[in-house]
Amino acid sequence: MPFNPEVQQLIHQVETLSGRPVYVAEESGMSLRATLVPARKGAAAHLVRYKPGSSSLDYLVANQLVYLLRTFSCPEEDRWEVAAIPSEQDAGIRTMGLTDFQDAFARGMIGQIVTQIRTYSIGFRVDAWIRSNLPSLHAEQEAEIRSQLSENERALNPEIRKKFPKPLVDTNSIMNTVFAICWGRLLGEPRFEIPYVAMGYRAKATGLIQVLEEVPDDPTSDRLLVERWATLLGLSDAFHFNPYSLD
Amino acid sequence: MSDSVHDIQFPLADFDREQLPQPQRDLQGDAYLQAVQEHLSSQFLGQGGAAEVAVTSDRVIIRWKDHSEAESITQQGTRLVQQGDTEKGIATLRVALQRNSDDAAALFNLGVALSNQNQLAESLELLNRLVQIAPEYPCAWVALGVTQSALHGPLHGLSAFQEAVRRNSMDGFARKNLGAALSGLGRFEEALEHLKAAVVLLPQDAVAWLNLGMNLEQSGNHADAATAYRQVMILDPGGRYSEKAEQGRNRIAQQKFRASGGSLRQDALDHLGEALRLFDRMTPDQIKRLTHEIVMLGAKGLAVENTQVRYQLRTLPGEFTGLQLLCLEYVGLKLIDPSVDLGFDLGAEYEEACRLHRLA
Repeated sequence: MPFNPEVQQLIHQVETLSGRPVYVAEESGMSLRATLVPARKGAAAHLVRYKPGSSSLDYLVANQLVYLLRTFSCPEEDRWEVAAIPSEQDAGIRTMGLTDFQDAFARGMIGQIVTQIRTYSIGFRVDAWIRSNLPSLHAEQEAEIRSQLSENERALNPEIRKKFPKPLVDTNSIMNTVFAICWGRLLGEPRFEIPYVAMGYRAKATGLIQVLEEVPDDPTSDRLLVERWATLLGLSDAFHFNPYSLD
Repeated sequence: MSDSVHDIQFPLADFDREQLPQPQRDLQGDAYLQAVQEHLSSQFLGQGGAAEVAVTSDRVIIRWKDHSEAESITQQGTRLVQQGDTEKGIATLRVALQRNSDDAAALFNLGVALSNQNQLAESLELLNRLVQIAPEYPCAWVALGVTQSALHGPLHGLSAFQEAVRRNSMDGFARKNLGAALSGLGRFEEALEHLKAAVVLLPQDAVAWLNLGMNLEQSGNHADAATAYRQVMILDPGGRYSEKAEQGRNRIAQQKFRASGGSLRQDALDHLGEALRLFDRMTPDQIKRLTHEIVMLGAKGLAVENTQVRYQLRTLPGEFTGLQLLCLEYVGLKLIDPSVDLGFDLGAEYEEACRLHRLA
């Protein structure tokens, strides 16, 4: 599939920096719009998968690639990935009020909320970089951001919220509030934050935004960013950082 | 920005009471639901779209619609006031001012809306601030003068109206209000210049013509006053200004009527007697129909002093002068409802005609 020249250039950059090719593949049945499996443990390539039918394919692929770009922009010893041993997951399960749920479900939920901490916090850096460096993707980026904002709003629905324990719902909502505040301002539509503020999430979201402002926008600081968000959200004991290596 | 509608829902139990103003935080039941609804509705004002907020016993439902052409919060408030949704419009304009206390359009429109609601002290404060920060804002001085006059009497609005005219002598509203204020102070000659200018600048403004008519009437220029009043009745048919104009025309006609016949007009006395005799032969329904027809015919004025002008009726054969019809109408109304004021005093003649009728 022919990508936008800027995306092709990005693929080339990642391949050059990492020394591994990037494969992009369509995968029907995915729940997420796009995912990335970085090459590790000797894998021959990085794999970006996307859900077919998206009109923002260039942006979705670029977004995943910029995460990789940030990783490989760091010296080898500063590259990391998030991992969790069972005792850390247990701590997360307790904090998030998931103890009464089926074990596999509860561990899955902890995995998702920790992933959200990483993708949302670094995601602001990634999207800021795309806004500054890939102008041809602006329209697709805005469309995807609006789509994400709508998806986050749907998660406020009473029928969805009552399925999960309050600490987990609140943690997710606080991060969605940051998303609504930051993107609402950038898009000139502050209305996106109104429901979240009405639910009292502003103060905690402001704490996370302050971290975004304080931590330098430099890939070597991404780990600190994730750590500080996790601390504010009470989940610093639910995971650890492993060194990331291709081999 | 696209035109799109989408709904957002969240549990009412998750609404943070701290978001409400202090006095509303402990509300319960419907009062609480209403406070949440009003709070959220106000938050969405000026956001480039329209939000409908509904609060049920278990959830908050927000229906948001983007507008292709965003309307500012001040424009929304002004539009609401103009559409007659005054309370909501005033609340919206207050929010606009909370966000920007120097918003001249919000100061003006809220000031005028409050003045119209008789909340004069607050209106005065807003309009005084407006003329300080935006003295050239259209109609600012006029609005200030109107509120000052309403609050303290015509003398107090005078300098604001004069300032409005000084800044723009082609401002019809300024000329109209200055003329009215001067007339109200008895300075008829000085006022006339402005009132004449006002009807030139605002030829479709019934009030401008009414002010001119009243000034001319009080100055003794009855012919021109009657013309001005007639113009009011054309511009505001059946309206309250028309009613005032008609009263003015009646006053003029009556003065003329009295001036030409002394204290008791024999012709009126004769016509009233004829009417009493005619109505003796009619049923109450026939009297009502005839009187009603004359009332309708006379709405545009009857030529009471011109016997050359003749009228015909559907309910009574023959041709009649204006004075004959006026006398029929007078007697008819006295028989149907003595409390109705015809606006033309034939009381002395009527009393005498009744006395003679009883003797006969």
